[in-house]
Formats: sequence, structure tokens, C-alpha cells
Amino acid sequence: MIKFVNVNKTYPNGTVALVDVNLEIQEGEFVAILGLSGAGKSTMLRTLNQIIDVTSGNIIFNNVDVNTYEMYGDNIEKEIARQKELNPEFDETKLNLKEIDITKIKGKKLRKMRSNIGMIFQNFNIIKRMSVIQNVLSGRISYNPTWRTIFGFFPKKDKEIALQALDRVDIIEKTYHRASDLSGGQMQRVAIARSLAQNAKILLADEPVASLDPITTFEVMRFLKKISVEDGITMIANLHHVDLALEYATRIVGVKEGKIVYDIQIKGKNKKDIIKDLEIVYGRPISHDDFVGEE
Amino acid sequence: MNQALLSKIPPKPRRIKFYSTIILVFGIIISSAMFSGFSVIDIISNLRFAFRLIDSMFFPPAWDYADNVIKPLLQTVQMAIVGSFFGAVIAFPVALIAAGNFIKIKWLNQITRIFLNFFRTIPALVLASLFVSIFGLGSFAGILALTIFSFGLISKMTYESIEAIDYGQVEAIISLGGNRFNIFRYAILPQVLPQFISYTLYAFEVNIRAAAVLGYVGAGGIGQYYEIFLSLRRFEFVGIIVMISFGAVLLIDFISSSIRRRLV
Repeated sequence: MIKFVNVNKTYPNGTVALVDVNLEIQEGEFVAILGLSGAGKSTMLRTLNQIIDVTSGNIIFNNVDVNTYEMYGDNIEKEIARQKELNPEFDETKLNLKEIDITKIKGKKLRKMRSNIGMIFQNFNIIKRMSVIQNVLSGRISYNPTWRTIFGFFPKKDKEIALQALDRVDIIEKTYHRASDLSGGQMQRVAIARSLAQNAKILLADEPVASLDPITTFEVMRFLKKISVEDGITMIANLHHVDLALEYATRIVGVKEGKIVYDIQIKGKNKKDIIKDLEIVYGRPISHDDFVGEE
Repeated sequence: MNQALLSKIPPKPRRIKFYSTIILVFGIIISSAMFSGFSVIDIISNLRFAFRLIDSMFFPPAWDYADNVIKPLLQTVQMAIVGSFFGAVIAFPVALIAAGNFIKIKWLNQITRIFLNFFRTIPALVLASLFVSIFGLGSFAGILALTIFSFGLISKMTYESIEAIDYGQVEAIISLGGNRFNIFRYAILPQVLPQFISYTLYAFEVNIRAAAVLGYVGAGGIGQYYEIFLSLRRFEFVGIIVMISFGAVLLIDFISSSIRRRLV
């Protein structure tokens, strides 16, 4: 569970990005954040992993082990099972699970918490001059000592993890290609694989399909949905298109001028009603331009 | 043109600023020429001396002396190679400290930049004479001078490149839980390495020319020969050194620019 408690963010230049944001997200939800450009969507995502700090308020994660800063989330048993699989000597009696406010921690602890939170971006932000496999291996940096990551000597186990991740997003045949040679959709899949290799329990997607054509858009959205469902990864995605949100998300949160003005669970609701309600978020009726269209 | 259209046209902007800038620039150039004693008449009236000098330098070329030029020339190139290399080695970490998007401590960036500007102010020839007075005559002083000189050049261009990188890749590594070393290795290095190598090669090209005069102050290389033959007024020997050096510079520029083209 993730909880925003009275979160405010004002940038040094005076821009007010978030105003009294309160939001609770359960594990495994697929939350689509909708809103106009400049509404505060990107800021909201970036405060979650503290790439941007907050001006006031708290962002709380439940069941974080205070020895390792590993997140155990809502389904503790499942995460313990996974840890045991990764490390046979894992001792669950040493766990000390607490609620942690990510805005209050720094340095190594913060980096450890970030390693639980994946992020993908509109312009992919993969390292173009490196190979695909090196990019995915960079998802393992927080699990390895710095000297190993500097020389790029990742253990065999990590290479296996990286290759499996590439296989899951159907791009394993590009393993040894230079990342700059890939198409946009392929780059975004590499970025998703990197988050999988990172062992992310939460995935922040900042306009993940905004620079893709419609066909690749659906492809990338399907992969996001797939890993959300199969791995129980909490997905929080800023989206521009209403139909994508309705199709792939389980919940829509509307942001306007830094405030949450709309919040709805999609299941069981009439989509037409939701589309009508979204007028509050956009300050105008939803039009044809707010849809990607049919696949 | 009808009246309705005519009334819509905005007033033509006056270009006072443009013309006054041109006048100012030319004024500076002309007054500088006057104060520094530059004179076209002097050039024309002395033209025949210039031709006589060129004639004694190159016609005919003193080919039999060429053998003696190769060794000091090679030494000059070696000085430039070593100087550029060590300059580059020191330049990279200092450029990282000067770059405001990697080390976010403003005063530290500023101090580093002032320090870099200080080193770039001192001409290589002056550096060489200072090092000669510390370490004595020879190419070691020259190498140190070239090291400092290339350090100033490369670090400035490199920190500007670091500041111009795509910050999204830095954000990606932060979001992976990366520390400062990881950010450097995975987000900055891949983006600036080709440019850094390119700057180093450029510094090397500049160093070849700079190294040629360092011998004037006793810092090794071909410059010593220039000094000797110019003072003896043996222009035919000066001419052959110039010609062979020219060939070497052409060759080196060709090699290094073809490497650079492949990098970027």
C-alpha cells in the first residue's frame, strides 16, 4: 500500500505542482492518472521515488523491512516466498516490517527503497550507446557492489534474470543489439525489462506511450498490463488517452491544477458515465482527440 | 496596393542598432590597427625582402638536412602525445566537479571553473619557461606545460558537454536506486565519452603546434632547432624544418580527424 498524506509541492520558481494530495493505492492496482499537461501528474510520480522532493506532507509505504529497506507490500507471504527463492538462506524471523515515509529517508536507505520502484519514461531513457543486455543489467545495479557495476561484471545469476526479463517482453532476439538501433516500441520494452530485472514491486510509468504510434501503443500497454496482472506489480501510469485508461487500468485518478479532483474504480462502472465525469478533470467535454482509437 | 492593406502593415523597424554595431566593430578594428602600428604601406615596401626570404628558405629545399630534422620532430610529437594524455586524465574528474548537473554544489562548481580559467590564461610558452626553471632544460618541462595546457582546454569543453547531456538517463539510473558512481558510469560516461575523446584528439592537434615552439625556452622538441637556425640566419634549414613539420601536421590531422569522425 502506498499512501500520499497531505502532499504539497511548490517548485523553487514558485510553480505550484501539488496541492494537498491524499491518495491510497493498494498493491496490484493499475492506476491511470489523467489530467492536462502541467496538471502535476509527472511531479506526483517523481515524488513517489523522490526524484523530486516534497514541500510538505508524507508518502508512506507499508511493510518495509527496516533492516534492508526491501518492500514487502500488502501480500507479505508472497514476497517472503520470492525472497526465499532468490536466496535459500533467507531468514524471515529477522524481518522487521514497519511503515516508512520515503520523504524522510536519505542516502543508502532511499536508494534501496527506490530499487523497489521501477520507472519508465516517455522518451524511454535507456542508455543508447550500450547494448540491450547491458541496459537490462543496469536494473541490477542496486543489488551489486559498486565496483562490480563500474566494471560491468554482473554475476551469472543477474544475467539470467536479465535474459528472462527480455524474454517476457518478447525482445530476447535483440539481446546483443545496440540500444540506439531499436525502434521506439522496442526501446520501451527494453525499459520495461529493465524494471523487471530491477525486481520492481511498483512501476511508475510517465507517459509511457506518448511518443509511440497507435499500434506500438497497444503493444506496450498490453505488456504493462501483463506484468501488472502476472506479478502483482502496482502500476501507476500517467496517460493522455482516456480510452487507454478505460481499457487497461483498474482505477482512474484525475488531477487538475495539482489537486485530485476525480477518483474511481473502473470495474462495474459504465464507461460512458466515466467519460462524462472526466469533464471535471479536463475542464471541457471529452472529445475524439482524447482517444487513441480502435486497435 | 489598396489602402486597407497598406494601413495593416506595421511600421518598418529601424535598424539603428544593427548599423551602430557595425560601425562600432569596424571602429575597434581600425583603431586597434592604428595603435598597434599596423601599416599596409610597410607591407608593400618590404615585400621584396619577404620574397627574398622565402626564396632562401625553400629554393632549393635543403633536402640533405632533412635527416637531422626527423628525430627532434618525433620528440615533439611524443611530447604532444604524453602531454595530451595526462592532460585528459586530469581533465575528466575536474570537469565532473565543474559540471553543475553532476555535483550540485554551486560554489564548488564556480571555484573549479575559476581555477580552470586561471590555467587557461597562462600561455603554454610561459608555462614551459616556468617548468624549465623548476625542472631544468629538456622535454620533461615541455611535457608538463602541454599537460597543463591540454588540461585547461579539455576540461572546459568536457564540463560543458556534461552539462548538455540528456538528463532523462540520469533520472532513470536514480530511479533504479543507483548511487553517484552508477550515475557516472551508466548515464554520463556513455553520453560524453565520444566527445571527450574527440576533445582530447583536438587538444593533441593543437599541442603538436604548441610543442614546436616550446624548444625556444629550452623545453625540448623541434623548437630548439628553430631558435638556433633563426639566430644563425640559416633560413634554408628553417625552411626544411617548416616543410617537414607541415607534412607531419597534415598527416596527424588526417589521422585524428578520421578517428573523430568515427566517434561522433
